[in-house]
Amino acid sequence: MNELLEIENLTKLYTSGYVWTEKVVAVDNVSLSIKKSEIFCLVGGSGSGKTTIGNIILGLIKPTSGKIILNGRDIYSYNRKAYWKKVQAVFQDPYSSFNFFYTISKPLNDAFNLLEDVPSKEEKKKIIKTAFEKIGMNPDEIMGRYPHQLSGGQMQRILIARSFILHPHLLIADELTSMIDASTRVAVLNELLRLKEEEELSVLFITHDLAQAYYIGDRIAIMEKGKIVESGLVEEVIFSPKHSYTKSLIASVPPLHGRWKL
Amino acid sequence: MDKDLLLIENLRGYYKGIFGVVRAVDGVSLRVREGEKVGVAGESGCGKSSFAQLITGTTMPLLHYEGGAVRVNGYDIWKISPEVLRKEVKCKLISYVPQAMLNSLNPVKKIKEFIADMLRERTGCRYSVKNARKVAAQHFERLGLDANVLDLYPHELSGGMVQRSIIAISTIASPQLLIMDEPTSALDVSSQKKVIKMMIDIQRKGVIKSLVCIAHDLSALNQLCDRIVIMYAGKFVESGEGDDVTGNPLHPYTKALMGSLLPLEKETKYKSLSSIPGVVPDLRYPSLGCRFYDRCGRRMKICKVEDPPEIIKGKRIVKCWIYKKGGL
Amino acid sequence: MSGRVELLLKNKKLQVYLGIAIIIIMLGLVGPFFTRDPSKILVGGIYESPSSEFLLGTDMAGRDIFAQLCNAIRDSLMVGIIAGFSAVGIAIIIGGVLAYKGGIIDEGANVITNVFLTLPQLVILMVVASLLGKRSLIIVAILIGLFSWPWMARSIRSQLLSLKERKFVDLCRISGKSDFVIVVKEILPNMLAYIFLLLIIGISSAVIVESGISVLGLGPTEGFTLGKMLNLVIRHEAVQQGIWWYFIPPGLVLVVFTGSLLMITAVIDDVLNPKTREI
Repeated sequence: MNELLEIENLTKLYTSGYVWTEKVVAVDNVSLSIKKSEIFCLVGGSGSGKTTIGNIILGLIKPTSGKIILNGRDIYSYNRKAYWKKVQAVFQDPYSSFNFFYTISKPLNDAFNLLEDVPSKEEKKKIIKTAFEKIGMNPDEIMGRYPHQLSGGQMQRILIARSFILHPHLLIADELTSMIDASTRVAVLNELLRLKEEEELSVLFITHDLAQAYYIGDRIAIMEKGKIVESGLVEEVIFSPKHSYTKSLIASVPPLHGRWKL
Repeated sequence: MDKDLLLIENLRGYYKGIFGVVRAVDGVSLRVREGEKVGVAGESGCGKSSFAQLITGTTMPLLHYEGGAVRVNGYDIWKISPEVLRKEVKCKLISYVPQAMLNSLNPVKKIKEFIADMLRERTGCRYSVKNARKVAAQHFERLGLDANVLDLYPHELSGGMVQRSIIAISTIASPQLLIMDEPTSALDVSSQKKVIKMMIDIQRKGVIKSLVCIAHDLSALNQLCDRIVIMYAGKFVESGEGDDVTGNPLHPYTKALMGSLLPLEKETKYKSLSSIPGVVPDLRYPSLGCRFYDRCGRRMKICKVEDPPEIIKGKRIVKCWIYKKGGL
Repeated sequence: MSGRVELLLKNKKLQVYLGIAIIIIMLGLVGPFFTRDPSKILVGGIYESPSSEFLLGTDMAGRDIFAQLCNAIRDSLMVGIIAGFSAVGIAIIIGGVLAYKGGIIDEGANVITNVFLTLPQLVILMVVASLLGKRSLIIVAILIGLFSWPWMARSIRSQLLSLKERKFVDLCRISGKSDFVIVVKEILPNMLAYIFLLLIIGISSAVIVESGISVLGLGPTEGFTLGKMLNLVIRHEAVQQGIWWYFIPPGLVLVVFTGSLLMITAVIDDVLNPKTREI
């Protein structure tokens, strides 16, 4: 079976108030599937529901209805720790992802918590060293530092290294690069591409940036107001868009060379 | 020959605190003529937001003016009294919209109430909310915005609409120069396009004479501005016409930056793109030479010890030793 | 973190206030070992004015007032510390752990907090006090603590809710950490400075509340606190008789001690708040 993750008719409603209730539809009957060793991009503006889908897949939020199936099993049938060994995440804001009270080694050491046989101190050090080598950093220089001493790009790459420790099957990358400088973004994206090739990792790449989605993605789904309006292979959707929203989205991306006629 | 609206000469501004002295803006010069739209592009930590604060005379507590001149219409804003600065410059000449303004609006005030407050401050006259709304409605319609927005609260509007309202509000008194810090970075692409169009319109329609826009997104900046200045580690490293700078970058930093950007073109997927290695230098201990030295692929011995000169060729300026020897 | 502690200790204002508070605390901790037995009557004359032998003179029964003061400080401190720690402890559980759980547990905790907030602390303390025949220092301390936690729980809860939004909390969740571990090891350390402030405020306000009920005679039945000293002062009309060495010290110590504690919190906030930090 080639499908790693299948989402069927996923809906998430938020209701506020107890007497006069207001309903907000965050995710509206969304279905999609992610293959093994694939980078699937979920693109939309703010409020499109893409982050909510990511959080539901991660088990941080419960859906209102619908099914999510990982490797043939409903995700709620998994033991939580076993599930999180298979599905991990890197979030948008690197400064928010680290607890400033501790050094940057904390989230890495915490990750070992998920393994059934917790490795010894030496083994942990070795695993961390290998993970760091894959992102081109030296752990001896960096492990003792505090988050405020590093740049955003470095912090994101360390969080990606955390996934190397766990070898998950699916990585949810939620706007992973939007808070990193343009000049360092490419390094982080290349990291993900390498993970896909070397570790057979699948990535759900959530973004609002079409160009990054195109650079890194295999397939793409465009979301608007909780629904998927168009999906398919990345080259087809971006260079031969069919839905009006997709078309307007593409037309709004400022070209690097050449001017709009405004 | 167009008149210079804004003339900045060798401006310096440092952050001073218990962490030491950070030389955030270290000797930058710029001329903005009447009718020009100039963009200052740079990444995080390059000093562009500090630069924006220094040229408007509104600096945050730890940022100090250290030297240089900022001349607007005959006034040197760092040499006049705060009274004159407020009355003459800030109300009539320069309008400044800081970063993330759209998140800082008082959520319990309607848009028209902001405008009433602002008009009272700027003109010193008493404006009732009704009168303010009248004045604002005219201005909004002139700029192509729906005047009904005035009766709403900020949270009832989309991010793009709030930002456009803010731009409209900041130009009601027809300032000569509008300075914007990251006007579109919190918006999605469709709103961004609308905001850029609005800023072009404002200048085209004569509501303002010139515009200075500070941002990190080069492509968006290029759509808006005529001239682009690239800032790195507190210095301006290159400037020229937008398409010239993006199409034919001269400074190694600009080249590396262009080589790491992702335009939405078919070839992008198959290009070998790479990030700029290394990190921005610590501006508490800046080197005497070129600040890009550690990350530059074309560095020479002299770059390490001497600050590069500014080489001028026509409309282009580059601050790099490479161009000294043989010229452009 | 140690950098901030260093910064605080270098601050001159803090050194002064801390010095004052420590002197008073020392009087309470060490004083009782070096002074006479405060309950022994007729060690001197009656209402003797201060001299080199009796630093604060004697009272109406010839007891050493300075000795009384030291013991009173010690007992008042004990009540203050127990009450302060209990209040903060309860606030951390209700405003911290329960608030983190969210949903109906948080709602329930909120209701309890609001109910306790509206209860008139002094009235209830007085009623309970009059019902209990014997009131030890510890019981009184816990009672006082039971009424000071609500506002602390509120502030802890609001800070916790904003810290909960940070992504490192989500990362801990997907690393399989339990809620309790997350609150105690991830979130609370970020609030250490604030919790420390809460403790100081809790202790100083508890000392004052205890003095208040003791003056009325409703304080602890055992022990001897500053409030009880003031109670004696009033009963024996020391003010009207002009016995200044009897009625001034306890009140003065109360004011100076709680005042210096509150000034310490003001200085800490001033120094650590990144927006008001001076060069």
